[in-house]
Amino acid sequence: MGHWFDDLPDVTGGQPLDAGLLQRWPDRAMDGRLHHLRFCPVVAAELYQLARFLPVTVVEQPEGVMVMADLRPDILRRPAFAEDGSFQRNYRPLVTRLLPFAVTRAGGMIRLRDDCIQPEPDRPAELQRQISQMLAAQAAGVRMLTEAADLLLSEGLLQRQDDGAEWRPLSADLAEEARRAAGNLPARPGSFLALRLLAVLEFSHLHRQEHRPAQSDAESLSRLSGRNEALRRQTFLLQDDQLDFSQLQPASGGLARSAPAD
Amino acid sequence: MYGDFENWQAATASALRIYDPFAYRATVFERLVPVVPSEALSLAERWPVLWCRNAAGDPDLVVVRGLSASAEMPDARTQSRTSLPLLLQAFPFRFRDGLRGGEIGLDRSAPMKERDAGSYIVNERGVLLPGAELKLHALERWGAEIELRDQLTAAVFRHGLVEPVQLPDDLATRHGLPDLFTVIAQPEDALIFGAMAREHWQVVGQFLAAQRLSLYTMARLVALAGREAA
Repeated sequence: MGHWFDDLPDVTGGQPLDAGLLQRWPDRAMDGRLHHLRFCPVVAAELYQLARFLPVTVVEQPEGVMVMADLRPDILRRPAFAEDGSFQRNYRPLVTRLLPFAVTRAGGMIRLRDDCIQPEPDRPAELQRQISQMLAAQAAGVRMLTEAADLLLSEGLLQRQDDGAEWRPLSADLAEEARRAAGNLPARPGSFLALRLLAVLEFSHLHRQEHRPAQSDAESLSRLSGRNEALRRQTFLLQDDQLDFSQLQPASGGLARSAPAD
Repeated sequence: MYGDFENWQAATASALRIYDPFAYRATVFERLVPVVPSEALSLAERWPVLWCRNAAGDPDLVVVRGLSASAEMPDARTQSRTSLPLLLQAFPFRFRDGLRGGEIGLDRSAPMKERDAGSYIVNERGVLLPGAELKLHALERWGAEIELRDQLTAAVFRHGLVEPVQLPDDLATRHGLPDLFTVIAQPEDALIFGAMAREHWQVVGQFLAAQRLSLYTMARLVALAGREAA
């Protein structure tokens, strides 16, 4: 798989940011093309908020894995973009707001090479400084999550998803292994962030089509509830309508009064 | 949430029936339900998971299902059984000593409305019936984490890693809500994890993330409580 930004039409790779590339840039250069993105990187500061709107997952990039928001319409329960390309969530990932400036897995800052020619006004120095500060914050946030994902991967807390490029938390039948692996993490801040990230990956699964609301937690219990259903099907006059005698003609006053109200 | 306790012998000897959780008053009206750490992630989709100060002044880990004490909990009748807090799934089964575990018995409370025929607890040979087994399983899951729940609460409060949850205007006083607390956004993680056995690290990390995720659901509860008052 290529870089996440290769999905943007007319974008041909990125180049390391320098002062020259920061002098001018087009307004909202990529906004009309964002709906082509399949993934976009997540920054540590937005991890929880983003997970309320989109699945967060771990995706391989040419240099290694990155923590990404999943934007693919065939995966999402509700598409992230409308037909006209407008974004359909109340929260927009930070990374999409500074394009064509972006950050790499290792925390480097780049500018995407764009073949689409647009007017690029010169920007005041103050604005350039702000952009580069925001970009630096993004780079730090991406690097934190990258390290957390690398740790989860090396400790065997993620497993490869069928299509190959995506890694997800271990399935439920490996819960015991996951618990053991989590307990073996080195006692340092990066590990604790990694455990939080793991929980966020699990939580945000609910935005995927394949998500089914949780059933009982043990296989034995699904068997039990099957028995329970059988029990319920036995008729003990359980339905309200079977107790509804209102259609009966009152033969005598006494019978009518004893009928249930509804 | 609980009334009088009835011991197991007395409850199973009589032909007492139990019903699905939605038949009981607690499921529809109980706004603060005690939870254990591993429940937090599944509850976080809908409700804030916070600490409240209980009557004794001690912090109690609960899920906040609504702000108003008198109104029905939002969605209380439309959700699935498995998305309820464990203690409500288990109801009317309970521990004699409320949240401290130990002897299991029943709460002596009648269902509000018998939605179906219910089920006996044991069959004529004394074997647990499936409905009772599901409920007991939920109670046992809760019971298994009592110690972890206490350790986690002690760790974050001892080190001052919590902050109060502020509600807008006078919502908290108007609805008679106790003080609510959450772990701060960037706690000194080593203090929390250091106080926990390594086998619990995964659940603790999961809980800390779940609580942050759950805070976003408070806005909906506030909006619902506001609309009700208007």
